[in-house]
Amino acid sequence: MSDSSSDQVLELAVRSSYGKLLSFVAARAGGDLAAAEDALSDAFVAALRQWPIEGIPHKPEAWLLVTARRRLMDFQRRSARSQIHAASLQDSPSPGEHPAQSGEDFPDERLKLMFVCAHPAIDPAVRTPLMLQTVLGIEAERIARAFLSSPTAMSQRLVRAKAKIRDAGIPFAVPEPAEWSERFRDVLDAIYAAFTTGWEDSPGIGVGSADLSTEAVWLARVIVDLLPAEPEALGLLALVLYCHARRAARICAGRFVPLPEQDTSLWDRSLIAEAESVLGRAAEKRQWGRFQLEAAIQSVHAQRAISGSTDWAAIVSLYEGLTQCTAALGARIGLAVALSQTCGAGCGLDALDSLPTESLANHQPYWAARAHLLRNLGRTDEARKAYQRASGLTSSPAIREFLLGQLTG
Amino acid sequence: MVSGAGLQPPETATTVRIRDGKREVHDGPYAESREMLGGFFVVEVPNLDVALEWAARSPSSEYGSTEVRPVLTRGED
Repeated sequence: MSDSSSDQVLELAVRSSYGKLLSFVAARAGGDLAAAEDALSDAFVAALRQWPIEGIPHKPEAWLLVTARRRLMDFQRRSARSQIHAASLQDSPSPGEHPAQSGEDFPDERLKLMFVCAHPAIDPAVRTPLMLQTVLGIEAERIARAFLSSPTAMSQRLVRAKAKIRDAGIPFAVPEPAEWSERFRDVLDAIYAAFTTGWEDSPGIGVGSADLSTEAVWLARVIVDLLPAEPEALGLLALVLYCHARRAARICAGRFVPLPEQDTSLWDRSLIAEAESVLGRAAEKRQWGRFQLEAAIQSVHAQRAISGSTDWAAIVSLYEGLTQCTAALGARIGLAVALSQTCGAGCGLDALDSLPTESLANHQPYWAARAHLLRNLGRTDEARKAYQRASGLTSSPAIREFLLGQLTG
Repeated sequence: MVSGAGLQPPETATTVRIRDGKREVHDGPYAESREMLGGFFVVEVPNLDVALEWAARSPSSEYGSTEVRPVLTRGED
């Protein structure tokens, strides 16, 4: 077995199995995610050392799992916590028995892990970073870059959240039916936040950027794999696929291109087709929700690639539906912009004026939308002020440049 | 001495309130400086979710808030 092929198998195992392995080990280590991560990373190091020499095991995941659980038992024997969690490790296989050979499988418990990460007792701001780190195995440093935080500060927040999960005893379990819908919405929100963080702050410029949207698509695929019949999970996947499909058209040569001006030939047709089919599966369930409506709006936009025009009346009705199921400002701003297309910029501006002023001071999309409508109404001075305000509220250089360019354009 | 116990650090705390009949759960200890400790209950439960259910049943959750904090157990520093 050559080094490169064992490296590849290992990399694939890391990418596709990290969360599966971690959730299984952590749930049996008294919810101690940090200890489970240490044990798992030791197992990966052992694999890097042994696989090129001894060959790739028949079941790589199972090999990593057994090795990680042995490491965990070693840590715990040495620590004061041993008495507390030793009992939970009693069901570990004895050293002689190795599921890598015996062919035993282990359950996928990533759903429990996702519910732990998005638990209401966890600070909402750390839920997405925690999910990215534990479900996908993304390093804290890269998460920090995407969230515009220092690596030290991000690591500390992650360490604190994991300590809380362990010490406060957040259970590795899926919620009871009575709590399901609210808790599930928190999970979907955390996945969507991974997407918007990648999308708004570092829109995929260059290789190795902090862009998280690919990872968010991955998370959305995981939740659909785990819950294939949940319409809102399907809606979320469709939504991120539609947006992801427009990546190449959204930033061209470092410049931001707004949706109505994008060159549709740069849109990824296969991702759009997948989004359509996923949204179709969601619609069969006939339980509308926020993410399905947002995906449906993107579906209307995607039609422009075929019809050459945008059905703004359909978008207005979808946004009207959306404002019924979420209080999010973004939905009402989207409605105002859509209205400006069907009944004029003045109509859109009236809709913006009806929003509660107290939450708008630092809301970038609001100021960008307002600037755009003011400019279309010929109210140049007010438009200039609004563009400046919007540009001061974005951390993306491409978007800032675009907004400031509108002043002269 | 009648009884006593050490608590785990404030970072392990979770606060529960009932507002308009709905349970609100937040990370962290109660934050408002004008609030004060009005009493305590000790429950032995398997995990935080069960503790939060008990906290929500406390009458104080209806008008104030109930902070859930794990007690230090032997062997922990």
